[in-house]
Amino acid sequence: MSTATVHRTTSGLAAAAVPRFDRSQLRLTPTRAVRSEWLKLTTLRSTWFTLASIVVLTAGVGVIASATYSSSAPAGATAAESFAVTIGGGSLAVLVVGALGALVGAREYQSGLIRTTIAAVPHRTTVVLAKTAALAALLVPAVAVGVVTSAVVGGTMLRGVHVPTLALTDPLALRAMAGTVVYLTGIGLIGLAVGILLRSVAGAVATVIGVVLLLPPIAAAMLPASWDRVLELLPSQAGEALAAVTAPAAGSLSAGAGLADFLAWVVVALAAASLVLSRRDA
Amino acid sequence: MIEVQHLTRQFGDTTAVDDVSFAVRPGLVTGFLGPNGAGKSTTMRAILGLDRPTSGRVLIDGHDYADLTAPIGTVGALLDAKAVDKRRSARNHLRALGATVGIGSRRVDEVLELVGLADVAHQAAGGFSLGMGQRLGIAAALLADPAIVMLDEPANGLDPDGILWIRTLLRDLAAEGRTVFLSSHLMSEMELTADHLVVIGQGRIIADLPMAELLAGTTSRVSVSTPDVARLVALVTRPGVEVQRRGVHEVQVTGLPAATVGDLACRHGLALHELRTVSVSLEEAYMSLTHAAVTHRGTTTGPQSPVLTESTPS
Repeated sequence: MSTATVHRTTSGLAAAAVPRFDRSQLRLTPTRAVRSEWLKLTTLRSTWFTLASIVVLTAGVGVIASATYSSSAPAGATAAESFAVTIGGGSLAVLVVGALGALVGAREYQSGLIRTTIAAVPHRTTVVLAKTAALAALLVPAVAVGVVTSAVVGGTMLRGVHVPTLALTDPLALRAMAGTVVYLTGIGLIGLAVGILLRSVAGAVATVIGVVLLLPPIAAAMLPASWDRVLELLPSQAGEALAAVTAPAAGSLSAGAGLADFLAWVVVALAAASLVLSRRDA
Repeated sequence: MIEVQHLTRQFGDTTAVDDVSFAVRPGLVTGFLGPNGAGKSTTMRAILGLDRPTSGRVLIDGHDYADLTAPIGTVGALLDAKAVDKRRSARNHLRALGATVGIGSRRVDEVLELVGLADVAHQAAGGFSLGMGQRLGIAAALLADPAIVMLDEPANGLDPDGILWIRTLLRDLAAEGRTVFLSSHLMSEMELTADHLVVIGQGRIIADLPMAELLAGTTSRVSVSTPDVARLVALVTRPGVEVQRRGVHEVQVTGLPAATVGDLACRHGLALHELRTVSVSLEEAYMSLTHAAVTHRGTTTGPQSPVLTESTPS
């Protein structure tokens, strides 16, 4: 800081103390808590980089897979199977989404900013809900742009080589795209909850990617088939079912059951984060 | 007005704050003084509802903190100046905080100007010096023009110019009728700023009194230099008088005015090289307060009094 600044301020203070303004309008509301969290997210450059990488990954992987598929599609491939390839990028982008959520949840604990946040918004459930709303408001459009882009570009490529695929407005296509948006956003929110619970960025990112996303498929491969009915209820498996285009394989959840199960995970994770945040010292 | 009522906070087996009660009134600068680890920050966190009390409670203008309609508009607090996201600009940090009660960018810019950070408003807070960080914390505390301002060690990291600035600011805030509550482990800080003192030691309130009263309650001493210390000690020693040896040729006499000491020496033909009244600094008053409390509680941990450790039995 320059000395000039200090002196100017010191002398300015002598003349007029703290500038007053109309305090009567000040009021904490849930909407304003959301606005505060929105500002916190959108004023960090890393948020935009991460969102951009989610869009690029979702769209890019889908387009690359479509390019490969357009020359190697099996003869009897159905339109639904082809469409699933075009929007397959979500399965990779979900890792980034989970990491972003974990980062958003744990970040304020790195600096201690969480105390300022809670002093400004004392009801801690409101803090969790505000963070949830702000993060979802960023993730939903990002994932939607990525998945629609991959469906449009990938679909154009496939149709160019006469591989049948679903129209964008096909109910099955719409459901799968919406399912992808819900799946990725939901994993982001589970990441948020894990971040708040663990209070450590590294621990939360590792937990979301390792335990929530990577462990279930590994467990499914290693455990006997009798475990499948349990494993399919885990958030990653339920989310995949939710985002699936093709009819579920025997023994896995339908899209509707997957949705209910997945949303239950999201709600339980956020409720646990609210409860723990309310119970412990900030 | 902050009312702390029978606040107790335990962490496991440790009692950080033990049945603490006091009130912080508007229009005054109230200093919260105690050695590091005495329970100042724990008490302040409890005032903001951040830490749950084990028992007792805190009222802000008669309400629970959690029930305030505009929390940052009622209590503006600075607990830890480093508690900002290093990647976010100063201005955006304040915008996000102000948004909780509907404060917009205009007020943010006004407050940044007030604390002297207008030039660096768009820089990431992570690059700020300790002093700039402290100013940002003070800006956050004053953002919503709160009636109560609570600052934990506000002078930390400020240069002399900054310390003068914060002192003036706090005096002005109190003069405007606000409740100003600030903690420090340094008495010298309080001496020039606070009107009222709440002294805490080992989790208990040791003193809660106006600054003037603390000063009046302490006795002054007479510092005497003489080539024959042993004779002087013999002359002045009597019930109610304490003599402390300060050096080869210097003693401090407590319990006799300088005039009496001088007259005694003159009558017995003892040469004096120096004779002066030493008014007890607030620092010493504070030390003896906390020392007494520590001794009374029969423990050996706690602040050492530099005055008492140098005394020799007379």
